[in-house]
Amino acid sequence: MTAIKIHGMPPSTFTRTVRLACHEKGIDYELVPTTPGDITALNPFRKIPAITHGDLVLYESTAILRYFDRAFPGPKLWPEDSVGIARCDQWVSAICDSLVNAALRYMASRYGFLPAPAEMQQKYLDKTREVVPIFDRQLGKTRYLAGEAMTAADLFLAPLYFYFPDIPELKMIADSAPNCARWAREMSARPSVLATAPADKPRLAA
Amino acid sequence: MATIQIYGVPPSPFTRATRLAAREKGVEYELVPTRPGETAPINPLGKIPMMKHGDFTLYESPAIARYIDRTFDGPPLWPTDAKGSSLCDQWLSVVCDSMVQTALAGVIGPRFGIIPGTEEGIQVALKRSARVVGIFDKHLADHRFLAGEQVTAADLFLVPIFFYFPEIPELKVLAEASPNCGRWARDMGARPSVKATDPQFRGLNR
Repeated sequence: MTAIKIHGMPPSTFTRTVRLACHEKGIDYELVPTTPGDITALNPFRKIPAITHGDLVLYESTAILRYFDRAFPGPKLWPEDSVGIARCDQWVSAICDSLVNAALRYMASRYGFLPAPAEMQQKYLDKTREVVPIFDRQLGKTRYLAGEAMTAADLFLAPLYFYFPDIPELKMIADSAPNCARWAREMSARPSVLATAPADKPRLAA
Repeated sequence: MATIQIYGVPPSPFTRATRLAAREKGVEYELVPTRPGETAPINPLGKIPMMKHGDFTLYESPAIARYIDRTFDGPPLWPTDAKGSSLCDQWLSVVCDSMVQTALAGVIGPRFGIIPGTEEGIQVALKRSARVVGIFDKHLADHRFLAGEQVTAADLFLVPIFFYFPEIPELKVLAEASPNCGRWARDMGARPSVKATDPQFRGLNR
Protein backbone atom coordinates (compact mmCIF):
# COMPACT_ATOMS: atom_id res chain seq x y z
CA MET A 1 0.00 0.00 0.00
CA THR A 2 1.15 3.54 -0.75
CA ALA A 3 2.67 5.17 2.29
CA ILE A 4 1.05 8.14 3.94
CA LYS A 5 3.00 11.36 3.80
CA ILE A 6 2.32 13.91 6.51
CA HIS A 7 3.32 17.43 5.53
CA GLY A 8 3.91 19.52 8.65
CA MET A 9 6.31 20.34 11.48
CA PRO A 10 6.88 18.45 14.74
CA PRO A 11 6.16 21.44 17.04
CA SER A 12 2.79 22.09 15.35
CA THR A 13 0.06 20.75 17.63
CA PHE A 14 -2.17 19.66 14.75
CA THR A 15 0.75 17.97 12.97
CA ARG A 16 1.40 16.06 16.17
CA THR A 17 -2.27 15.05 16.44
CA VAL A 18 -2.13 13.53 12.95
CA ARG A 19 1.14 11.75 13.76
CA LEU A 20 -0.32 10.47 17.04
CA ALA A 21 -3.24 9.01 15.11
CA CYS A 22 -0.85 7.15 12.79
CA HIS A 23 1.11 5.76 15.72
CA GLU A 24 -2.04 4.70 17.57
CA LYS A 25 -3.43 2.97 14.48
CA GLY A 26 -0.11 1.46 13.42
CA ILE A 27 0.01 3.36 10.11
CA ASP A 28 3.46 3.87 8.58
CA TYR A 29 4.06 7.45 7.52
CA GLU A 30 6.75 9.74 6.33
CA LEU A 31 6.93 13.21 7.86
CA VAL A 32 7.76 15.76 5.16
CA PRO A 33 8.94 18.93 6.92
CA THR A 34 6.66 21.67 5.62
CA THR A 35 5.93 25.11 7.06
CA PRO A 36 2.61 26.91 6.64
CA GLY A 37 4.29 29.15 4.05
CA ASP A 38 5.37 26.14 1.98
CA ILE A 39 2.13 24.20 1.92
CA THR A 40 0.13 26.28 -0.58
CA ALA A 41 0.35 23.66 -3.32
CA LEU A 42 -1.35 21.11 -1.05
CA ASN A 43 -3.51 23.44 1.02
CA PRO A 44 -4.45 26.82 -0.42
CA PHE A 45 -5.58 27.90 3.06
CA ARG A 46 -1.88 27.68 4.10
CA LYS A 47 -2.29 25.59 7.20
CA ILE A 48 -0.38 22.54 8.29
CA PRO A 49 -0.71 19.60 8.33
CA ALA A 50 -1.88 18.09 5.06
CA ILE A 51 -1.53 14.47 4.02
CA THR A 52 -1.03 12.77 0.70
CA HIS A 53 -2.01 9.16 0.17
CA GLY A 54 -1.61 8.05 -3.44
CA ASP A 55 -3.68 10.56 -5.43
CA LEU A 56 -5.54 11.85 -2.40
CA VAL A 57 -4.59 15.19 -0.90
CA LEU A 58 -6.37 16.01 2.33
CA TYR A 59 -6.07 18.85 4.83
CA GLU A 60 -7.80 19.81 8.09
CA SER A 61 -6.74 17.50 10.92
CA THR A 62 -10.22 16.32 11.90
CA ALA A 63 -10.85 15.23 8.30
CA ILE A 64 -7.46 13.48 8.22
CA LEU A 65 -8.09 11.53 11.44
CA ARG A 66 -11.49 10.39 10.21
CA TYR A 67 -9.94 9.31 6.94
CA PHE A 68 -7.39 7.20 8.83
CA ASP A 69 -10.14 5.64 10.90
CA ARG A 70 -12.19 4.73 7.84
CA ALA A 71 -9.41 3.69 5.47
CA PHE A 72 -7.08 1.75 7.80
CA PRO A 73 -7.41 -1.15 10.21
CA GLY A 74 -6.12 -0.85 13.77
CA PRO A 75 -7.63 0.48 16.99
CA LYS A 76 -10.59 2.79 16.38
CA LEU A 77 -10.07 6.51 17.04
CA TRP A 78 -13.83 7.07 17.35
CA PRO A 79 -16.28 4.97 19.36
CA GLU A 80 -18.57 2.72 17.28
CA ASP A 81 -21.99 3.72 18.68
CA SER A 82 -23.87 6.87 17.67
CA VAL A 83 -23.89 8.42 21.12
CA GLY A 84 -20.19 7.67 21.64
CA ILE A 85 -19.29 9.09 18.23
CA ALA A 86 -21.30 12.24 18.98
CA ARG A 87 -19.59 12.70 22.36
CA CYS A 88 -16.18 12.28 20.76
CA ASP A 89 -17.10 14.76 17.98
CA GLN A 90 -18.33 17.20 20.60
CA TRP A 91 -15.02 17.18 22.48
CA VAL A 92 -12.92 17.36 19.30
CA SER A 93 -14.93 20.39 18.24
CA ALA A 94 -14.78 21.99 21.69
CA ILE A 95 -10.97 21.65 21.64
CA CYS A 96 -10.60 22.97 18.09
CA ASP A 97 -12.85 25.94 18.85
CA SER A 98 -12.93 26.99 22.52
CA LEU A 99 -9.54 25.71 23.67
CA VAL A 100 -7.59 26.54 20.49
CA ASN A 101 -9.01 30.07 20.38
CA ALA A 102 -7.89 30.62 23.96
CA ALA A 103 -4.86 28.53 24.95
CA LEU A 104 -3.25 27.98 21.54
CA ARG A 105 -3.59 31.66 20.67
CA TYR A 106 -2.06 32.53 24.01
CA MET A 107 0.86 30.17 23.35
CA ALA A 108 1.31 31.51 19.82
CA SER A 109 1.51 35.04 21.19
CA ARG A 110 3.93 34.06 23.98
CA TYR A 111 6.15 32.16 21.53
CA GLY A 112 6.04 35.15 19.18
CA PHE A 113 4.48 33.25 16.22
CA LEU A 114 1.33 35.33 16.29
CA PRO A 115 1.97 38.46 18.32
CA ALA A 116 -1.08 39.90 20.06
CA PRO A 117 -1.59 43.12 22.03
CA ALA A 118 -1.41 42.76 25.83
CA GLU A 119 -5.17 43.08 26.27
CA MET A 120 -5.84 40.30 23.73
CA GLN A 121 -3.25 38.11 25.46
CA GLN A 122 -5.07 38.70 28.73
CA LYS A 123 -8.38 37.72 27.10
CA TYR A 124 -6.89 34.49 25.78
CA LEU A 125 -5.50 33.71 29.22
CA ASP A 126 -8.80 34.48 30.99
CA LYS A 127 -10.67 32.32 28.51
CA THR A 128 -8.19 29.46 29.05
CA ARG A 129 -8.75 29.77 32.80
CA GLU A 130 -12.49 29.46 32.15
CA VAL A 131 -12.32 26.53 29.74
CA VAL A 132 -9.73 24.22 31.35
CA PRO A 133 -11.95 23.51 34.41
CA ILE A 134 -14.65 22.25 32.02
CA PHE A 135 -12.19 19.68 30.70
CA ASP A 136 -11.08 18.95 34.26
CA ARG A 137 -14.65 18.23 35.36
CA GLN A 138 -15.15 15.89 32.42
CA LEU A 139 -11.92 14.05 33.20
CA GLY A 140 -13.12 13.74 36.79
CA LYS A 141 -16.09 11.76 35.48
CA THR A 142 -14.49 9.69 32.72
CA ARG A 143 -11.01 8.29 32.24
CA TYR A 144 -10.64 9.87 28.80
CA LEU A 145 -12.58 12.77 27.25
CA ALA A 146 -15.19 10.68 25.46
CA GLY A 147 -15.43 7.82 27.97
CA GLU A 148 -13.33 4.94 29.26
CA ALA A 149 -11.35 4.44 26.05
CA MET A 150 -8.93 6.82 24.41
CA THR A 151 -10.33 8.52 21.29
CA ALA A 152 -9.50 11.17 18.70
CA ALA A 153 -10.55 13.82 21.24
CA ASP A 154 -7.61 12.91 23.50
CA LEU A 155 -5.24 13.04 20.52
CA PHE A 156 -6.35 16.62 19.83
CA LEU A 157 -5.99 17.70 23.45
CA ALA A 158 -2.60 16.12 24.20
CA PRO A 159 -0.31 18.17 21.90
CA LEU A 160 -1.90 21.39 23.13
CA TYR A 161 -1.95 20.46 26.80
CA PHE A 162 1.64 19.22 26.78
CA TYR A 163 2.79 22.80 26.09
CA PHE A 164 1.10 24.11 29.25
CA PRO A 165 4.01 23.27 31.60
CA ASP A 166 6.38 25.31 29.42
CA ILE A 167 4.55 28.59 29.95
CA PRO A 168 4.34 29.73 33.59
CA GLU A 169 0.84 31.27 33.33
CA LEU A 170 -0.56 28.14 31.70
CA LYS A 171 1.32 25.90 34.11
CA MET A 172 -0.56 27.60 36.96
CA ILE A 173 -3.85 26.76 35.27
CA ALA A 174 -2.76 23.16 34.71
CA ASP A 175 -1.62 22.88 38.33
CA SER A 176 -5.14 23.57 39.53
CA ALA A 177 -6.66 20.89 37.26
CA PRO A 178 -5.95 17.57 39.01
CA ASN A 179 -8.02 15.40 36.68
CA CYS A 180 -6.35 16.85 33.61
CA ALA A 181 -3.03 16.09 35.32
CA ARG A 182 -4.00 12.44 35.91
CA TRP A 183 -5.10 12.20 32.24
CA ALA A 184 -1.87 13.88 31.07
CA ARG A 185 0.24 11.37 33.04
CA GLU A 186 -1.61 8.45 31.44
CA MET A 187 -1.37 9.95 27.98
CA SER A 188 2.31 10.78 28.29
CA ALA A 189 3.13 7.12 28.98
CA ARG A 190 1.79 6.05 25.57
CA PRO A 191 4.41 5.06 22.98
CA SER A 192 2.66 7.31 20.42
CA VAL A 193 3.13 10.35 22.66
CA LEU A 194 6.75 9.49 23.48
CA ALA A 195 7.56 8.96 19.79
CA THR A 196 6.15 12.33 18.68
CA ALA A 197 7.57 14.65 21.35
CA PRO A 198 8.95 17.69 19.49
CA ALA A 199 12.77 17.64 19.75
CA ASP A 200 13.30 21.37 19.72
CA LYS A 201 10.60 23.24 21.51
CA PRO A 202 9.99 26.87 20.65
CA ARG A 203 11.37 29.50 23.02
CA LEU A 204 9.28 32.09 24.76
CA ALA A 205 9.42 35.54 23.21
CA ALA A 206 11.13 38.16 25.29
CA MET B 1 -44.43 16.20 18.99
CA ALA B 2 -41.05 17.21 17.64
CA THR B 3 -38.41 14.49 17.44
CA ILE B 4 -35.56 16.68 18.68
CA GLN B 5 -35.11 20.05 20.35
CA ILE B 6 -32.61 22.54 18.98
CA TYR B 7 -31.57 25.25 21.45
CA GLY B 8 -30.45 28.48 19.86
CA VAL B 9 -31.65 31.62 18.09
CA PRO B 10 -32.42 32.03 14.37
CA PRO B 11 -29.71 34.63 13.57
CA SER B 12 -26.92 32.37 14.91
CA PRO B 13 -25.17 30.82 11.88
CA PHE B 14 -24.43 27.58 13.72
CA THR B 15 -27.99 27.31 14.98
CA ARG B 16 -29.14 27.73 11.40
CA ALA B 17 -26.68 25.04 10.21
CA THR B 18 -28.20 22.49 12.62
CA ARG B 19 -31.74 23.52 11.61
CA LEU B 20 -30.76 23.12 7.96
CA ALA B 21 -29.41 19.65 8.75
CA ALA B 22 -32.67 18.66 10.47
CA ARG B 23 -34.78 20.00 7.59
CA GLU B 24 -32.67 18.43 4.83
CA LYS B 25 -32.91 15.16 6.72
CA GLY B 26 -36.65 15.52 7.26
CA VAL B 27 -36.39 15.48 11.07
CA GLU B 28 -39.01 17.47 12.96
CA TYR B 29 -37.50 19.79 15.52
CA GLU B 30 -38.61 22.34 18.02
CA LEU B 31 -36.48 25.49 18.24
CA VAL B 32 -36.09 26.39 21.92
CA PRO B 33 -35.01 30.06 22.06
CA THR B 34 -31.66 30.06 23.88
CA ARG B 35 -29.02 32.75 23.83
CA PRO B 36 -25.28 32.33 24.25
CA GLY B 37 -24.43 32.33 27.95
CA GLU B 38 -27.82 30.77 28.81
CA THR B 39 -26.73 27.28 27.89
CA ALA B 40 -26.20 25.72 31.35
CA PRO B 41 -26.52 22.95 32.28
CA ILE B 42 -26.29 21.37 28.82
CA ASN B 43 -23.24 23.28 27.58
CA PRO B 44 -20.75 24.65 30.12
CA LEU B 45 -18.92 26.45 27.29
CA GLY B 46 -21.85 28.86 26.93
CA LYS B 47 -22.27 28.43 23.18
CA ILE B 48 -25.29 27.75 21.02
CA PRO B 49 -26.66 25.62 19.47
CA MET B 50 -27.34 22.56 21.55
CA MET B 51 -29.56 19.58 20.82
CA LYS B 52 -31.73 17.24 22.84
CA HIS B 53 -33.00 13.88 21.60
CA GLY B 54 -34.88 12.08 24.36
CA ASP B 55 -32.48 12.09 27.30
CA PHE B 56 -29.42 12.67 25.15
CA THR B 57 -27.98 16.17 25.00
CA LEU B 58 -25.22 17.35 22.69
CA TYR B 59 -23.43 20.59 21.78
CA GLU B 60 -20.99 21.72 19.04
CA SER B 61 -22.84 22.04 15.75
CA PRO B 62 -20.66 19.71 13.61
CA ALA B 63 -21.25 16.96 16.22
CA ILE B 64 -24.99 17.71 16.14
CA ALA B 65 -25.18 17.60 12.32
CA ARG B 66 -23.35 14.27 12.23
CA TYR B 67 -25.54 12.83 15.00
CA ILE B 68 -28.66 13.83 13.05
CA ASP B 69 -27.19 12.27 9.92
CA ARG B 70 -26.32 8.98 11.62
CA THR B 71 -29.42 8.62 13.75
CA PHE B 72 -32.26 9.39 11.36
CA ASP B 73 -33.43 8.17 7.96
CA GLY B 74 -33.43 10.61 5.09
CA PRO B 75 -30.96 11.88 2.51
CA PRO B 76 -27.34 11.47 3.72
CA LEU B 77 -25.64 14.72 4.76
CA TRP B 78 -22.21 13.15 4.24
CA PRO B 79 -21.15 11.20 1.14
CA THR B 80 -21.12 7.47 1.83
CA ASP B 81 -17.72 6.70 0.27
CA ALA B 82 -14.47 7.21 2.22
CA LYS B 83 -12.97 9.83 -0.10
CA GLY B 84 -16.17 11.87 -0.51
CA SER B 85 -16.82 11.74 3.18
CA SER B 86 -13.28 12.98 3.91
CA LEU B 87 -13.61 15.87 1.47
CA CYS B 88 -16.89 16.82 3.11
CA ASP B 89 -15.13 16.74 6.51
CA GLN B 90 -12.33 18.87 5.08
CA TRP B 91 -14.60 21.57 3.69
CA LEU B 92 -16.79 21.57 6.77
CA SER B 93 -13.68 22.14 8.87
CA VAL B 94 -12.42 24.89 6.55
CA VAL B 95 -15.78 26.66 6.85
CA CYS B 96 -15.69 26.37 10.66
CA ASP B 97 -12.08 27.54 10.84
CA SER B 98 -10.87 29.79 8.00
CA MET B 99 -14.27 31.19 6.95
CA VAL B 100 -15.46 31.69 10.52
CA GLN B 101 -12.20 33.33 11.65
CA THR B 102 -12.13 35.80 8.75
CA ALA B 103 -15.60 36.74 7.47
CA LEU B 104 -17.77 35.80 10.45
CA ALA B 105 -15.68 36.68 13.52
CA GLY B 106 -13.62 39.38 11.79
CA VAL B 107 -16.24 41.26 9.75
CA ILE B 108 -19.87 40.16 10.17
CA GLY B 109 -19.75 39.87 13.98
CA PRO B 110 -18.29 43.34 14.61
CA ARG B 111 -20.33 45.06 11.86
CA PHE B 112 -23.51 43.51 13.26
CA GLY B 113 -22.58 44.76 16.74
CA ILE B 114 -22.46 41.22 18.12
CA ILE B 115 -18.76 41.10 18.97
CA PRO B 116 -16.37 43.98 19.62
CA GLY B 117 -13.95 44.99 16.88
CA THR B 118 -12.06 47.99 15.57
CA GLU B 119 -12.38 49.38 12.04
CA GLU B 120 -8.68 48.58 11.58
CA GLY B 121 -9.27 44.96 12.60
CA ILE B 122 -12.24 44.73 10.25
CA GLN B 123 -10.12 45.94 7.33
CA VAL B 124 -7.49 43.27 8.02
CA ALA B 125 -10.22 40.62 8.27
CA LEU B 126 -11.73 41.83 4.97
CA LYS B 127 -8.43 41.22 3.18
CA ARG B 128 -8.22 37.74 4.67
CA SER B 129 -11.87 37.08 3.81
CA ALA B 130 -11.15 37.96 0.18
CA ARG B 131 -8.38 35.38 0.05
CA VAL B 132 -10.52 32.68 1.66
CA VAL B 133 -13.58 33.40 -0.48
CA GLY B 134 -11.35 33.30 -3.58
CA ILE B 135 -10.34 29.73 -2.72
CA PHE B 136 -13.98 28.70 -2.27
CA ASP B 137 -14.87 30.36 -5.57
CA LYS B 138 -12.12 28.53 -7.40
CA HIS B 139 -13.25 25.24 -5.89
CA LEU B 140 -16.91 25.84 -6.77
CA ALA B 141 -15.92 26.45 -10.40
CA ASP B 142 -15.24 22.70 -10.75
CA HIS B 143 -17.69 21.37 -8.19
CA ARG B 144 -21.41 21.98 -8.03
CA PHE B 145 -21.34 21.81 -4.25
CA LEU B 146 -18.41 21.91 -1.83
CA ALA B 147 -17.90 18.15 -1.55
CA GLY B 148 -18.99 17.20 -5.08
CA GLU B 149 -22.23 16.97 -7.03
CA GLN B 150 -24.50 16.63 -4.00
CA VAL B 151 -25.39 18.98 -1.18
CA THR B 152 -23.57 17.91 1.98
CA ALA B 153 -23.09 19.13 5.52
CA ALA B 154 -20.26 21.38 4.28
CA ASP B 155 -22.73 23.43 2.22
CA LEU B 156 -25.16 23.63 5.13
CA PHE B 157 -22.45 25.23 7.30
CA LEU B 158 -21.41 27.72 4.61
CA VAL B 159 -24.94 28.95 3.83
CA PRO B 160 -25.65 30.77 7.11
CA ILE B 161 -22.38 32.72 6.85
CA PHE B 162 -22.35 33.43 3.12
CA PHE B 163 -25.99 34.51 3.17
CA TYR B 164 -25.04 37.40 5.49
CA PHE B 165 -22.55 38.75 2.93
CA PRO B 166 -25.15 40.94 1.11
CA GLU B 167 -25.82 42.76 4.40
CA ILE B 168 -22.25 44.12 4.64
CA PRO B 169 -21.27 46.43 1.74
CA GLU B 170 -17.66 45.18 1.38
CA LEU B 171 -18.68 41.54 1.64
CA LYS B 172 -21.46 42.15 -0.87
CA VAL B 173 -18.84 43.43 -3.32
CA LEU B 174 -16.70 40.39 -2.58
CA ALA B 175 -19.64 38.01 -3.16
CA GLU B 176 -20.49 39.74 -6.43
CA ALA B 177 -16.90 39.29 -7.60
CA SER B 178 -17.16 35.54 -6.91
CA PRO B 179 -19.33 34.14 -9.71
CA ASN B 180 -19.09 30.49 -8.70
CA CYS B 181 -20.02 31.23 -5.11
CA GLY B 182 -22.88 33.27 -6.59
CA ARG B 183 -24.11 30.31 -8.66
CA TRP B 184 -23.81 28.03 -5.60
CA ALA B 185 -25.69 30.56 -3.45
CA ARG B 186 -28.52 30.70 -6.01
CA ASP B 187 -28.75 26.89 -6.01
CA MET B 188 -28.72 26.78 -2.22
CA GLY B 189 -31.11 29.72 -1.87
CA ALA B 190 -33.77 27.83 -3.86
CA ARG B 191 -33.89 25.00 -1.30
CA PRO B 192 -36.94 24.89 0.99
CA SER B 193 -34.67 24.32 4.01
CA VAL B 194 -32.79 27.56 3.33
CA LYS B 195 -35.97 29.58 2.70
CA ALA B 196 -37.60 28.25 5.87
CA THR B 197 -34.67 29.23 8.10
CA ASP B 198 -34.02 32.76 6.75
CA PRO B 199 -33.32 34.75 9.93
CA GLN B 200 -34.30 38.14 8.43
CA PHE B 201 -31.51 39.61 10.54
CA ARG B 202 -29.44 42.66 9.68
CA GLY B 203 -27.50 43.18 12.89
CA LEU B 204 -28.17 44.85 16.20
CA ASN B 205 -27.26 48.28 14.84
CA ARG B 206 -30.14 48.60 12.43
